[in-house]
Amino acid sequence: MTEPLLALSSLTLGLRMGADLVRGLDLHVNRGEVLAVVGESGCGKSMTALAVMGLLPDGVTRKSGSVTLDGIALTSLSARRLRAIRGKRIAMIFQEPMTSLNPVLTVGEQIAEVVRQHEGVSHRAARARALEMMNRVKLPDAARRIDAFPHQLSGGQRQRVMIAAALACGPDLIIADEPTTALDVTIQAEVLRLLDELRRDHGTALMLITHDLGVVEAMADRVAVLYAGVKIEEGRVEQVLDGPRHPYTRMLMAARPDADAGRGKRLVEIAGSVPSPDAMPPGCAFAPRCPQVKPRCHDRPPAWRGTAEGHGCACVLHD
Amino acid sequence: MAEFIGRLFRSPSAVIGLFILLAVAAIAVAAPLLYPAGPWAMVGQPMQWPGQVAGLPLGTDALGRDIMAGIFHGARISLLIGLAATAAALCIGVAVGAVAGFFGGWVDDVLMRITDAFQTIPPFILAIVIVVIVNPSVSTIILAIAAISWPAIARLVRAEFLRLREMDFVASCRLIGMGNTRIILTQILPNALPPIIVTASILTATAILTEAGLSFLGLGDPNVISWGTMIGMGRSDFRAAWYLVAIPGMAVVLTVLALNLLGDGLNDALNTRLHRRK
Amino acid sequence: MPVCCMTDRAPVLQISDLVCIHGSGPEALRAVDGVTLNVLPGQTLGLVGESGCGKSTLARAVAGLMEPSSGTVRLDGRVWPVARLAERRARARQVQMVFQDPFSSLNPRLSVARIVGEPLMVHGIGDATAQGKRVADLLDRVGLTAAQGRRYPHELSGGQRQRVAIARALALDPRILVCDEPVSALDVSIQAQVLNLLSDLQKELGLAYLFISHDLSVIRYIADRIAVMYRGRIVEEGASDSVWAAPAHPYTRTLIAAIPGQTRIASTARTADALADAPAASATACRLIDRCALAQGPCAQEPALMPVGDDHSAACWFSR
Repeated sequence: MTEPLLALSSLTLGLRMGADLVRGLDLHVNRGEVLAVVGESGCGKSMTALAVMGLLPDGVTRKSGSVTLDGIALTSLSARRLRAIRGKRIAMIFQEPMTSLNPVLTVGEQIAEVVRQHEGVSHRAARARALEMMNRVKLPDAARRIDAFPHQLSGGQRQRVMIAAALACGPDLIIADEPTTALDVTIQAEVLRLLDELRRDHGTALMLITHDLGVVEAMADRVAVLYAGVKIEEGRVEQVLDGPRHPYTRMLMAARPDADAGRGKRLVEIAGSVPSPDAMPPGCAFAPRCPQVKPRCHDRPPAWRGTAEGHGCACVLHD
Repeated sequence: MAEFIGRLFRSPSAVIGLFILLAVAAIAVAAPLLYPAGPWAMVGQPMQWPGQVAGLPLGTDALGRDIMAGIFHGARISLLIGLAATAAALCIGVAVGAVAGFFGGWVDDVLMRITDAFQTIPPFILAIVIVVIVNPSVSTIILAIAAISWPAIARLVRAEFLRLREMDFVASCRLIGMGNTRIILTQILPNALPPIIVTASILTATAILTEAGLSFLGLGDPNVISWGTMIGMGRSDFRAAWYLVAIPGMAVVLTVLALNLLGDGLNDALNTRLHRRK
Repeated sequence: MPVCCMTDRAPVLQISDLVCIHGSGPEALRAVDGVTLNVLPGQTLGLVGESGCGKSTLARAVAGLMEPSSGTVRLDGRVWPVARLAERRARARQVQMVFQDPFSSLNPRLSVARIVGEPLMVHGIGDATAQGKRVADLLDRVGLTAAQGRRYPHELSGGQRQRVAIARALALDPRILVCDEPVSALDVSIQAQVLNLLSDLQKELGLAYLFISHDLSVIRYIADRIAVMYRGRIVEEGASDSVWAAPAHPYTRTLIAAIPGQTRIASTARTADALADAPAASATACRLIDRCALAQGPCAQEPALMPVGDDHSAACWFSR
């Protein structure tokens, strides 16, 4: 087995002098692979993405664990060396392109800026690269749009610009945090298809953060399910979606109004809500909402059980 | 509410500000009890320096009046004018801003042009003009200060109303058949209060300063003594007896500072409310 | 009449040839451009469309938050102008609305019980004791406890807030509820709770819903009938099963194909290019002419809704 491109090992993130938001997370992304990280709000998926990028917000800190990219421990790099990697070898795409693009710079300038920062090429060369990238993400009429400002583009077009900027330096890994959540369904389908093509053509790995199991099914090779800051299930997409092992994964799938399920059929509800980080139960985090809860679930967090096929789950039902 | 007070008392600036203000208020309340003769009474030799004569800790002015009595009674006038002018400015400003922001359209245009007109004249000059035209008295000074202060409130309230009237909870009130007046008073205004309260504390400070400025120029109410009047009267003897200006000056500075500190503290304590969403 | 009912029950909501124009002059936008729809008592009409198609404007016009530019909204057979307060109050007992964002739809300064009881206070229904009892009933009905009634909105989760909004909307016993994307701001597991609650309430109270969403799977789950809206017009309308099983309009087919997860993305049929890239078409042409793979000669004329099957109609020359 070759070494993974990105590896998180027992990563714990939390508020400085406060509760933990992500607890002991192990994840890896292989070269050219799409890993979907799925969970509801508050499960720590966005925080994990920011930790990989070294962009944790004020007040949140890495308490233990490490992030390794291609053998380089990102978590022990200086801010300056991390900056050199960020954008060049890992890039990030955010949910709302309007707030992550600078409104007073043209989109061409913003893509070119990434190139110049990492490769020190001339303005002219950077602009040429920006145009090339905009064509690559199939932004229609790129030669004209290169001088457009973000507000002159539609949501889907802005997301294409974000992807172009992310791709500009040919990164090995793109982290996409809910890249299509703010978009219409038809536009979403196009953006997903674009990401998929780029991965095929350039071998870029993708860590796709999403709450939408439909997106997972459409895009991912492997999937990790997070609940309340803990990984509760992981495996190949067909393994997890066709044979979910953790009750939470099963319920999450049944809670979704499925297009084929027909109307009126009662949806499965997950009673209650996600525990807040400062009131985590001592045992399994899902125990208070779990219909198959056993007495020992409340004692201590369940151990991780893997299978030879790489389908793992943290639940006492599989001990 | 309890939560809000807790947050307020966690802010050191608010606590210091409140402490000073309570002290000033206590002085104002105690003035007629401690100095029943009033600030005009001549109680000793003129121009006694502070500490020179026992019983007159802050000394006397050029006419032998007790400066301590002046500070005590002056606090009444300064606070009265500061609070009353702010209250009047709030009444006008909130009404104008609320109506303009809630209804929009031509109502907004007309009200905002009037507000603009007030704001094009330098405020202190406008206050002087008003006081000179009508006779200077406590009530006309209050009116003059209110007249120059309300446009800022009106603009602030209008901006808050413009933002809040688009919120779905206001639409929901329309849908249940709630009348406009009731929506303004019970739904939008309470949510617009935090910045209004903060601005009001700063405005009180400005009103006290403006009153001091007017009195310094001799445009104060001739029948009462305020801190500004004392500074104005001490001005001619400044070189021989600087304390005549410095003591009431300190009183103004401390009070204004206290109001600003309180404003900061209120701002921090109130701001978590609407912004801590999600 | 293809769009109307086969039953003899009178529709609780009739929208006829509704036009809503935002702005004026050359900048004017016909957000809703001639929509005719009916909703029967106890029935759910699901209205689906992408952002900017005019579905939220339609919702606001039906709820009474704006006066339509032309056309009518009839509730219980009559038009209710919204200019006068008395009329608005009477209308309030016919229709209420549940908003998308439960963080903006509840006044942050009021307790939950007060928010739910406010409609009763405004309408002067019952005395304080009766109102308190009714509020307790309403809270119970949407699955909230009396203790939660004493809380403030910021102390509740998104799903609980949406329950509060639903309880408030039910306080006046309206016959129809306009739900504008009521679950799109919620997590999947919470979505299921709210959708189940809406289904239960419909069964218990015989409510009719005009349910608006961008998410076709949610619409498919909740709606008896589906109407698909595109650039201010209804392009397809019919019984849920028949629209889903045999979408007659190319745009509906595009929407269904775009739902992720039915197939691997790479094998999905290619959808039309982004709407924003389309140049403004001529005023008389089909609004989809620039995005539609089928566009041909007749599409220079805009088609009206035409029956394509039993209780199913579509606005496309090629849909028969």
